Amino acid sequence: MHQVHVEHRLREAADEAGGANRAHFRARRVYVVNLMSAPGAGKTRLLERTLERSAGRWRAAVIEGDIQGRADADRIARLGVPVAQINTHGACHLDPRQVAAAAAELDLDGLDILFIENVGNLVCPAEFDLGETDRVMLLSVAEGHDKPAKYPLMFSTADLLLVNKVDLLAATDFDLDEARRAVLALNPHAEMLEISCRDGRGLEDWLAWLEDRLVHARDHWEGREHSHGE
Amino acid sequence: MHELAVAAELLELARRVAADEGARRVTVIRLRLGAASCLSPDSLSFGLEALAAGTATEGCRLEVERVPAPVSCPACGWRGEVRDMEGLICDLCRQTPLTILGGREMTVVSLDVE
Repeated sequence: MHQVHVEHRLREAADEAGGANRAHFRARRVYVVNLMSAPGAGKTRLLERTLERSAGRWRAAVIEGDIQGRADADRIARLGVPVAQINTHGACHLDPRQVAAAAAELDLDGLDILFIENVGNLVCPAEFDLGETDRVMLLSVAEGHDKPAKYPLMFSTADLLLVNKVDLLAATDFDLDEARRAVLALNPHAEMLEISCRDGRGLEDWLAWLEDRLVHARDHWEGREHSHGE
Repeated sequence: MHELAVAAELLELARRVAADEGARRVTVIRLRLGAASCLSPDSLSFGLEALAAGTATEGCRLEVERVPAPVSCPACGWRGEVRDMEGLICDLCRQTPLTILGGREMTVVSLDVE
């Protein structure tokens, strides 16, 4: 019997694939958002509203991730936005290698923003680096303000938390201050916006955040100083 | 965390190491897990047991060394280590949530083969 030292990092292959995606997107100057949430929080509707409001302002494309079907990709395609659909056939999260294959179906030249709509799930997607620039998490008020404490990895790795469906606040027990406290306890750098994809409130602030992050990313890639906040 | 996927990765690593060493069995796998790594050793053992049946890794024991996660306070600059990821509040400030600086590692340190 003898001992063999390996110092093998688990998940190395997946981490490397995420890093390769990041380098690829950066080389093409594409700002990438990994959009995550529980099922039904409103990711696809958010993308529809975002793409409608930003038409002519940015060139965007979408990678849709679902277990099966093309329902979400079809919704995006109806807006005339280039979209690639990943079907995981049972896997509960997107993997960076799937994202690389889907990105190859899209023309990244001249693209400003690529949205990746992850599989609806509060647990697993957070564990996989897809090569995104920013992570945006969507939490709808019907899900409860206790979710950040219960799903720490997801909420601690989000750059922005969008609290959606605030038009329904009166019908729920969702406490915005409690949600904010819980998220900041996990991630002091996280930002939070309240939105409703139904009545439109907060959406201009969300677009302003995107614009700011897009400019910040480009400045960073070009080696320029960025004047907003950072 | 996908313990079954991790178990499959461990199994493949064990198979490769055993082949390279000309060994017939892998008896121990030693892991180093950071406090912030979200991997459940129990689930992992269970997954490994299920997948290793009939292979050179069958009956293999998993030994886990847990290492603390480095943390710091964004308000007062205090730096320390934690082993438990709940309620991370700075001892000095008493109210500022701590920033997690690391502790997400999941490394296979060594294997015993024979």
